[in-house]
Amino acid sequence: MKTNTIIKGTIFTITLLLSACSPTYYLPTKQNVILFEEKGDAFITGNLATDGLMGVEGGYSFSDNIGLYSSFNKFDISIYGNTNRFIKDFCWDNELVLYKRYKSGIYTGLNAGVGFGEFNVNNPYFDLGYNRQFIQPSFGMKIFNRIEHVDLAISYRLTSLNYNALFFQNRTDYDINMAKTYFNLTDILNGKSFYFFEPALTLGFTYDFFKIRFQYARAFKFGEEMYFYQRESISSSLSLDINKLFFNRMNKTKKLHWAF
Amino acid sequence: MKKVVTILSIFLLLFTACTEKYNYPTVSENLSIVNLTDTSFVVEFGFMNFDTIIAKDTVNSMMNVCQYINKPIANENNLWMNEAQFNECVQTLKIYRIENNDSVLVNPVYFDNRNLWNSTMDKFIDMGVYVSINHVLEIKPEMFQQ
Repeated sequence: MKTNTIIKGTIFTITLLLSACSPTYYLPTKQNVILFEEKGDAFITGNLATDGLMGVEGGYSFSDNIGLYSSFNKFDISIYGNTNRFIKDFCWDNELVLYKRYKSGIYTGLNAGVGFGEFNVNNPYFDLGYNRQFIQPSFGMKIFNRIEHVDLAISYRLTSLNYNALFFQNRTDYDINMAKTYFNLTDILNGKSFYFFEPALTLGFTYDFFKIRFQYARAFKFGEEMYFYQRESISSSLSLDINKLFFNRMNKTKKLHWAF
Repeated sequence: MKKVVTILSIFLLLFTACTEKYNYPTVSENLSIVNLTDTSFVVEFGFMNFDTIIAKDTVNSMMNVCQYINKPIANENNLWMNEAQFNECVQTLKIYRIENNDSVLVNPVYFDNRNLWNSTMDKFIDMGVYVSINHVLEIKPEMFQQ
């Protein structure tokens, strides 16, 4: 039993070590769940995650059930090169969020979005962009049903992913073939779409006008196994509701959200 | 406590394992010549002032030929030899066999161009990334000038 555990642990570690050194071109970025509570919620969010991910996000709820959310994240999974540049890899997602918060504390949501991004910006051999479309149902609940509360949510993002690469004109066919191997591009430039199933578990702490979120997300590719994507991501984020913070400072019990 | 130390060690390894992160891994380029003739022959690698005999049914490889070329090839715009650099390198080759005290040369049109070589890239990962390009040329009997 103990030997079996050691073998499994060793294989897991080696797999992680190898994946840490190879360029990859997809990351299960943070899923935006349990965002809005009610009409008028307006969030700005800072986001930190594994793989050097840093992001800013913003969203607004137009009604008690519909909101829009936009997030820009930069990260580094394409590995090679670019020591001094601020942005190495990035993605920009825009989502329509349909949600319902029940009085019992149950939360359901459905996000539908499109995203764009680029990898290894300023690479000397190619421009590699991608776009994705996704839907993301989510289900959550308040653990303590008060204004200050803890949320726990499960969500599943279903993603369709496409790449488009442009090799520079001064590069020969030989250069292009070598670059595909060198930069680990062979799998993704076959002209096909890729489909992912991405479950995530989110733990959130809400205190009136700010929320802290921790999330573990995992990516599973449908179909043949390939090695061009990151398997998992752990993120943390801090959101401020600027509506409650600046413009609508009373809560439902007519108590001030904050005061000097 | 042991579990905590183990998990922390794994994470430490993960963050320190890949020394190539943010750098472009260096590419080693190797020339291999395969003897498919019935006799041995000589190859003179002019760019490195070296010659060798390749016996029948054997392969001879020159490792990391880039270091013998006086070109700045290891920068991010030129990670491997470009076509001109490669051609310049192989155009210094001289391949011949001795017949009746005479040299019989392989016509350079069979090897003086990158397209005549079969090139493949290999990557090997072991606490770092090692990349090599192997350029292989097969020498057949009909390539010798009569």
